[in-house]
Amino acid sequence: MDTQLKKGVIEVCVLAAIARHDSYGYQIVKDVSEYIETSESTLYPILKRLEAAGNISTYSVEHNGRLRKYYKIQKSGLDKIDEFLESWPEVQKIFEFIREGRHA
Amino acid sequence: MRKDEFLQQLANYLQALPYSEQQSTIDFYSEQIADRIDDGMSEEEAVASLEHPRDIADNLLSLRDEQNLEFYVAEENPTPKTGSIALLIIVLVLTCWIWIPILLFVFSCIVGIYLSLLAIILGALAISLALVIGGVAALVIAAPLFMSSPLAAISHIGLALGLFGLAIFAFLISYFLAKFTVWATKGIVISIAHYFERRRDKKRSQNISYKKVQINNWGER
Repeated sequence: MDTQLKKGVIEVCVLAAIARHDSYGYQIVKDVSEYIETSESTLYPILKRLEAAGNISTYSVEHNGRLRKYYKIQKSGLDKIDEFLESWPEVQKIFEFIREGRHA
Repeated sequence: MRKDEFLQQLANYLQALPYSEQQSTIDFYSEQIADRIDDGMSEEEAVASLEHPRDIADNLLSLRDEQNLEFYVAEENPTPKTGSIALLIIVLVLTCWIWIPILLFVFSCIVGIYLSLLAIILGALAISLALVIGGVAALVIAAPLFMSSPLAAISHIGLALGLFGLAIFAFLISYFLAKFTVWATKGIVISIAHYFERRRDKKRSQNISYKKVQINNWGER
């Protein structure tokens, strides 16, 4: 996928992964990577940004004698996902426009 | 690369960021490595599957620029020059009566050590060969003796077996010494290379200072 396009979608994918169930860094990378190739270095700033914006919250759980940071979706995070979903018809219209232009 | 080394390097590259942010980044990557190890990777594999600390830091620093936050610019300071190269050469030439003998001494020590190791290895090999020949000779002598005096023949065979045993022993000494020499040489060369690499990295990071800068939306300061 085009990198510009990927950039916009990946953030929603991260939100969606967290919305399914509370999750931690490595699990999110694995879940999202099934659809878009993602690395920790892409994920980390996104998580930071989402947390700063209050779209997700964090808590720590002890695991194997260390702390693992879990991310939990917040109301505004869900709103953000909805916003993306609602924009889909619009995206589809743009897609049609592009396709017709190509085959005109 | 080991986990500690990875995190240490990351910390070095992130020095431009506020302390709390450095800490949270390091915690994050530390958790990623631990989770990969729990998932069945070895420590080395886990680290190798992540990006290089320098790239991670570069990426984070550039994102801070984009977000129009207060950020820090790394500035490479010119290396403080203690003198020109010409002066250095003059000093080297003038002091050559000190350092050339030292260099020669060290060099001949190293050559000496290697030559004596080689001598022991080859010597043990030669002894081993001689013992094998001796053993074969004892067997050859033993063969015709079987009819006339079986006792003498058996004692010769015994001697041959003893010689073969010693031959194996001498060969093993030679073999393991050769192996040890290669292993030790490798170890020494690698640790010297590491030392210089680390020193170079350290020097480079000492030459970088960070300046706090504020930029606006258009990337202007």
